[in-house]
Amino acid sequence: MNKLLKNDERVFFGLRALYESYGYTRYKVSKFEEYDFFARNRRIPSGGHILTFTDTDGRLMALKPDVTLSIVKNTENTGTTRKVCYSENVYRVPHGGSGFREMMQTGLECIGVLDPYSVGEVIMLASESLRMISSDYVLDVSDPGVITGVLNADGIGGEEAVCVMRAFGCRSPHLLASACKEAGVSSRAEEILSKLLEISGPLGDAIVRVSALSLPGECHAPLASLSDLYCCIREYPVNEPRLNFSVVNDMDYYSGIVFRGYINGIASGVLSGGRYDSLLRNMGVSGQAIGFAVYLDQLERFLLPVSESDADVLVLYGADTDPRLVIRTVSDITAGGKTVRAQRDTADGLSCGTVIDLRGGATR
Amino acid sequence: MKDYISVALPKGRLGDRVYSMFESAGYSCESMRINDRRLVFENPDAGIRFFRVKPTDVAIYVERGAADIGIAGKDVLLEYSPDVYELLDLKTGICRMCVCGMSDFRDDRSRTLRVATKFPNLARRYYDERSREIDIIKLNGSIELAPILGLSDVIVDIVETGRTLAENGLTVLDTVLPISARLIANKSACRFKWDGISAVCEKVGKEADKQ
Repeated sequence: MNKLLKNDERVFFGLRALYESYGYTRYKVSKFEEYDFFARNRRIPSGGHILTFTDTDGRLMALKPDVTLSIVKNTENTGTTRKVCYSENVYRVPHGGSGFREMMQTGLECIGVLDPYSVGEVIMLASESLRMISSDYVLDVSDPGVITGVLNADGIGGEEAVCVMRAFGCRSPHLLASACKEAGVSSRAEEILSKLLEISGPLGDAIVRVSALSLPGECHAPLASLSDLYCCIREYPVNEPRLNFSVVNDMDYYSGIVFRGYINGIASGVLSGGRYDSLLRNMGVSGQAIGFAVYLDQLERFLLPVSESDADVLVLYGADTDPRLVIRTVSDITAGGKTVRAQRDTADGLSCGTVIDLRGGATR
Repeated sequence: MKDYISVALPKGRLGDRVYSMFESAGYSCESMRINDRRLVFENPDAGIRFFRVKPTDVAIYVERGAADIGIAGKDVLLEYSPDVYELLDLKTGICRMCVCGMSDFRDDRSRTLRVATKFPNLARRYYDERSREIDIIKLNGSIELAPILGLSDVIVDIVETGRTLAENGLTVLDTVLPISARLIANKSACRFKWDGISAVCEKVGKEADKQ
């Protein structure tokens, strides 16, 4: 059965099986939500674009731009931890795009009481998800709390902090320098920020380098959460994540550890996730949450090689050819494990490995 | 197979100037100096490959991973907001994005301002910050003509020396932002080719500092 699946289908089913093997139960959300729900929660990763339509009862409905919000909305304040996984289409305008697209996402959410184990498990599953797509992958993690900790200790917040975070997102030393100058960041804090921008490497080593920077007290908690993560993740047989402070993801959505996965050969990130405790609070749900999504639409070109032919064998037959001869010929070929296309009279526009021509000689 | 660093260079003077920096930094490619119609140039020894593309397309080539790094003006980066890293300010191609109008222009706040530009997103952001109602007229060239013929009240465009403006009776009314060429990089390429990309940045950055 596995042989019959195309690469993308194998990944799709493999990911689902992976999440279910760790007790993440399958969760199906409806394709539509009332527009009001998303309008109240504009901080969704869709650039503010929502595809709407009017339902038969006059309600303004939206095609889901995001799955996590719908899952959180249906989370009860019971105090128990929920582990769910999903595979859903979302409707968004891609970055730099000029129109809506249907995008397939698969991912998981862990909502409730989070501890180092549950955070480590989610990041291990993110790493495993990438490995399932390709062994040549990188999972970058960060906690922007380290950066905001340096800024808070310097009395910098609001729009000025956003400019500094943007410079980190661009991995840009010159933008960081000008953002620090604009915000009035002290030279000591700017020096620390410049060093944080340069630090990128295996999580364990990078934490040691960050710890050596004599950071202000506000940075200790986020750094401790990264250390906890390292202690857990090293127990799993997965590639060590890399610490990279340019991973800032959407700061209105995420709070705490964030991560992003890349595959060599795919131009942009294929996996994105992080802690979203504050989003949970804003929606009136107590507890903490972490999750990620794999953007399956990004994988299409990577996983599906360009088809070189329409079939391995083309069987050409004519009006006079005995159909039983065609049936026997086709059956023999498929039994041999090859693909076959039986076509009457002409091979125009078809590309097949070999051609068996039954026209002429055979009689009914 | 050698892992090339592919570079999208903008066609024109800026591309020539930046290529000279790469050349001085040890990333030369002799065929780049031959004036023919080739679009791709390689130096296997230096592990570098150059493409010449339209300046406004550089960011797209880099964002989509067709090039690992590229050279784009800050104007293009702000207009299209590509999802790329901005690793270096090359301190060349220095100019200003300006609001310009006829020398006798008087801003009548009771009317919608007609703004002709090649950079509608940038212009809209500038006027949004000033709560000014505008009508954007998107043009692709000869922007200076718009206020002369009454097509627009002002233009938002790049000013290098200001000579073209002066020769046509136009003047700079405000500077939107200073502009220079930036070295940008694909985010995924930075994960898998960082050693090569950071080496290019370091060497070309030193050349940029000499500017």
